[in-house]
This record gives sequence, C-alpha cells and structure tokens, in this order.
Amino acid sequence: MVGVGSPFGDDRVGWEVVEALEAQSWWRELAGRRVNAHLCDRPGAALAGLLQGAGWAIIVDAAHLPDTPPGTIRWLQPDQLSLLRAPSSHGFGVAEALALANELGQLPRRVDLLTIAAGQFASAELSAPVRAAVPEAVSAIGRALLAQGLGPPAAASGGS
Amino acid sequence: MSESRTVRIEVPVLARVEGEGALDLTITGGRIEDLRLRIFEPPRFFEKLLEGRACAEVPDIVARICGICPVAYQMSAVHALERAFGVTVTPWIRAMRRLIYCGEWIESHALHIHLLAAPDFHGYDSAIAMARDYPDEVRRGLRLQGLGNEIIRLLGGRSVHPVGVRVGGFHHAPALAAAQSLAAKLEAALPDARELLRWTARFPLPADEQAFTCVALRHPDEYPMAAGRIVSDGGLDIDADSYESRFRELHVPHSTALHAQLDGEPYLVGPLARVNLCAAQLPREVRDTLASTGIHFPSRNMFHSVVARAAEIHHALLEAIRLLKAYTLPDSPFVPIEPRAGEGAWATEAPRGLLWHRYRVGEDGRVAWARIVPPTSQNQARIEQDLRASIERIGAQHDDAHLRRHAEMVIRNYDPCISCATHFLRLNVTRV
Repeated sequence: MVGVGSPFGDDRVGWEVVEALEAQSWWRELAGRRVNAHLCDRPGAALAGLLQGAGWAIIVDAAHLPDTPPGTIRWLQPDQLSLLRAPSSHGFGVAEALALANELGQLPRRVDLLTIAAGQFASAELSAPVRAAVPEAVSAIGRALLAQGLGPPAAASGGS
Repeated sequence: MSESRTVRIEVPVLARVEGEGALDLTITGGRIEDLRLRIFEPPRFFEKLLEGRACAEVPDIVARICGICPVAYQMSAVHALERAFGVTVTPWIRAMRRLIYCGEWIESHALHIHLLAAPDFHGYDSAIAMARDYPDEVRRGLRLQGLGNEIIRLLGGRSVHPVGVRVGGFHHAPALAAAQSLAAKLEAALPDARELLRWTARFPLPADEQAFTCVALRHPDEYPMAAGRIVSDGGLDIDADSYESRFRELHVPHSTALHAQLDGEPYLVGPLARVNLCAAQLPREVRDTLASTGIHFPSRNMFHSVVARAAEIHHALLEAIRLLKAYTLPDSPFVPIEPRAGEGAWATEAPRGLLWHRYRVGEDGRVAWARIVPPTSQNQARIEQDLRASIERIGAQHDDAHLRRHAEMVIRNYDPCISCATHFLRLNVTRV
C-alpha cells in the first residue's frame, strides 16, 4: 500500500488515506505480515524500487481530473495513465515509475491505483470534499482486500 | 550564394524551477551567426521573499528553491547566517553537515547519470527505454539514489525538502543504532559505486576538447563540500566575502535567469570543475579507480562530467561511511543562535556546482537583504560557449534533428535544472 503525496493541499490525500488505513484495527493485524504501507513524498523513480518483491500494489494518489468534482474516487489501471513524452527528473511521476518498474521486470503482478480527484493545492489542509472522501477510500480498499481474502472481517465491512 | 537557415529549438514545458527555455540558433553559410540559450521562466523572487523573514525560517524557505538539491541551499544559507552572527559550530555539526551533503551528492548525481545523461550517450529517448537493455545498471543507479535519500532522511527527517536543518546545526541527532545500520548498508554498496565509475568511463563519450575556466571551492584538508576558498585554474583564490569583486551577474535580454561571469568571461562550476581542481583530495581508492579507466583529469572534455559525477558518488559514499562509523551522540545537535544585525556570505558546493549566498540581517534580527547565486545561472554563459564550439565541431550542416539531439546532449551534460525541459526540445526551422 503506497500513499503518494506532498504537503500541498489535496495532494496530501494519498498520505491521509494510508494513515487512516493504518489506524484500522484489522489493518494492524495484517501489517508487517501480509501487507505493508509506505508514505512517499513525490518518490520519482524510487517508487520502482519500493514495489520490488510485492505481489500486489495499491497506490493511492491525488489526481487532477478535469470536469470531475473534488473527492471523486476512481480506480485506475497503470495502462490508463499517460506517460510524459520523455520524463525528466522533475517530471518523473507515478506513470513513469510504473513504466520503469515494468521494464526492469519488477512490477507487481497486480497494480491498482486508487485516485481521488483533487480540488486545490494552495492550503496546507485537505479541502472539505476531499477530506470527506478519505473514509470512503479506506472502505473501498477494505473491500478490495476482502475480495482477495485479506482485509476487514466481514462483519466490520458489513457496517455493524 | 550563402545558405541561411534559422534554427529555433524550443523547450516549451517544464515542471519546476529555472525551467522554461529555448535554444535559438541562426546558421548562415554553415557558420553559427547567433546562438542564445533563452530562459524565459518567470523570475521567482526568492531573494525578495526572504526579506523581513526571521532567520530561523530561512533554511526551510531556501530548501524550496530546488527539489533535487535542497540541502545545498540550506547549507549555504546556514553558514552565511552563522557568519553574520559570528557563530562557530561544533565538530559534530560540521561532520553531520558533510554527511547530509554526501547524501545529496549521491542522490542528485545518481539521478542525473541514470535518468538524464546515460540515455543520451547510449542513444535512448529516456531511462525507461534504456532500462530494457541495461536493467542491472539502472537498478544499481536507483539503489545508489535511494541510499543518498536515506542519508538525507537520517538528518533531514525526509528526503524531499528536508526539515532537520536549522541555523546553528540540526533539530535532532539521529540515534546511534540508526547511524550504525546505515553505515553497514552504505558499505555493502561500495562495489556498486566502483562499478558505476568504471561503467561511465566506458560510455561512448564524444571527444570534444575545449578551453574553459574551472571554478570550485578548495579546502586544505578535504575534497570541497561545505567550506573552502573559491579558486580557479586561472589563479583565482578568494574567500566567499570577496565573490562580488570578481564575479558579476548580468541581465541578458534573452534570459530571465542571470548570466554570471568571472572577470568578464564565462566559467564552469560543477563536478568536472571540482575534479579538475581538487582530484588530489579524492580518496586513494577513487583516484586508483579513476586512473584505471584511462581518463585523465584535469580534463578539457566537458563530457567527462559524467565520469566526474560517478567519481564523486564513490567519494561521497566512502565519506558518508567514514562519518557514520565515527558517529557519536552529541550533547546538543545545535549551538544557540541569537540573531543580530550583521552580514555574512558563504559558498558551498551544490551537486551542480558553486552555490553562493549573502545575507544582511537587520537590528530586528530579520533578513533585510539576500542574494543567492545558483550554479545553473553561473553555467549559463559557459553552456552557450560550449554549444557554439560543439556545434561548429560536428558541423552546422547537419540536419535539424541531428543538431537538436546534439544540442540537447550538450545542455543536459551540465545537469542544469533546465535539463528537465531539454528532453522536450522542439525544432522549428525557417529556411531563408
């Protein structure tokens, strides 16, 4: 589980989701044995190294999605990301890191991107709609893990 | 009849920093009539932004100037301010500053070699394309870059825009166990650093001897990093206070970044300038590996910068291991600072070269005036000089695509922040 973010406004939502996940008791029971969580500050190419050895990676990141209300959660696959034509050190983002990991043969068998549409990057805090999306994102991850036999006990995910 | 063509190479996109630029090239009758590396990124006004700020805020503000080399900006700033206040730091603080700087050199150099420079020399569009054919080399580069980041994190709290540095020292001292475990990891990476140096020396680098002036810090006891006198291979030998007496920053109409000149002439800063001037102070192990490559320093081939960068990674790794092995917990990770009116200048060696700062602090203990001269602006005039010589050497009659590729490679070789954008060079040709 990788939360990608920066301290700027809604760009920090990747961190906030993973931190909220780590606060769940069911996550703590799995942590270190079957799942690992990482927070990254614009990891660049280093993300390729971080994914090495993982069978499945979920990457949580803020997304700039035009015409999409802030806080909208969307699952994406790596091939849905468009690469910059030729990445530079400053522009080496998640898409480029995944492409590099793929070339190096160290891309996990399964990679899912959980994106949350961002609204603003100016303040230090999350905007209200993006903050409201954090618990929803945690639930979505819980459901994805449960479908693979990991994750929250059925009762907890059932809302009791 | 003379053939005239105007070649315009554009760099339209840049993510951050001193980035948006273009190369304008006018060739008439096979000769370069005009050559301008234009930087039209809006000025960022960091110096103005610092005015009125408390001195304690300065390290965190200047760290934002560059995402790749924030430590360099912090190091020049804290030293200059401490000089203004007449403060001397402890040997522990001095050692830890050298350690965090080693981390930045390793991280920044590894990134440049593998993501930017190596694809040029091996004929790939990007590191991603190169990784298919050179997976082990790229993995090795990423490992080294990661270790550099780990060193920065140990003292800075995080690797991007680290927050551990303060005027007077560091906010926290790392735990002894953390220092020891990092030392062991770095030692295990020494074969990687040696192999990287040998690999870069085997790159099919163009042979392009040019005359240029090298400028770097020189320190009597160590390879320069955070302290020393400013020297050149033309006999310059001054302290940071006297920088403005010999170096001038000029506005040129085609660039929003200032051009710098030494006694009215372009000059080079960065890894090649440092190795050319200070190779004797590299550890014996690095000198031996360098000697075995058959490349001799001082070198007049600008493309040997990539070899110099690899040599500095090897050096920084050895230095970090030495400093971590000698690590002890300090009584305090900082010395107390009482901001007062004063003025101080300092220069350190950023990965890309000399980084000079001067601050004037007012009676209220706040920054009254600041001046920052980054390596990229110092190298700008030299890059233009190199482009002119280099394009004339290969022959301006080549087609536009060939000229563009060569110009990109020349520019990127300096590792300027605009190297980010030069991958996007676009060529518009007007034939008259």
